[in-house]
Amino acid sequence: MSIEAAILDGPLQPAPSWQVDGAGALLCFEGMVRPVEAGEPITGLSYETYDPMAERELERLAREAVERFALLAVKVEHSRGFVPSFACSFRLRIASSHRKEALAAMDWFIDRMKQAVPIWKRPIPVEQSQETAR
Amino acid sequence: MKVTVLFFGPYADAMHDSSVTLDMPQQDTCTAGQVKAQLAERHPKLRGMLKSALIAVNHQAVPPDQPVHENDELAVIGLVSGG
Repeated sequence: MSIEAAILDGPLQPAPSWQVDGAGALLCFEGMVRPVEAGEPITGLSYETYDPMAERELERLAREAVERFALLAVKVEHSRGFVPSFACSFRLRIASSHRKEALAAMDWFIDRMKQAVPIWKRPIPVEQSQETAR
Repeated sequence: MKVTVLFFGPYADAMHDSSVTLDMPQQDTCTAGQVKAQLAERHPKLRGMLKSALIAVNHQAVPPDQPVHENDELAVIGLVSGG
């Protein structure tokens, strides 16, 4: 059983390949920043995290997911600070023996993260970023 | 006793500040629930937002009856939007 959780500054870089002994299913979910928020164009999202609680909560959820769904491994990463539109701000990788438990765990984890992990996003409107650039 | 509570996200926006220090009527120890009640009483603009919020004590979300001491780090955790 392997669990990794991390809060990282800025957009997440592409994930390296991942191998887990005994895994018949490897799932990777990436949350991307959309260029529009509430109908308004944005340049990106700024993520505020309460450290170190945010990382600890991600790790706690990962541990709970491993136990609940009999997973082999979970790796989760979330951005802190500014992430531009079209970039990745969240990545969850799950390894399990079979696909069903991995797919169920993916949904379960993300639902709980959105309820319990102290991370807040703030959209940065295009106008605001232009003012900042001046 | 005095306790300092940290705010993030929409709570900090509503308060126009990232923390507040409360003068609690209790002497040495109060509870997380009492802190939340004091916040709602003294800062009416937080009332609605606090309904679904938890109090974290020293980086752990706690139940309302959790004892709180003067030097503990408190934070309002709610309306999160990760992902």
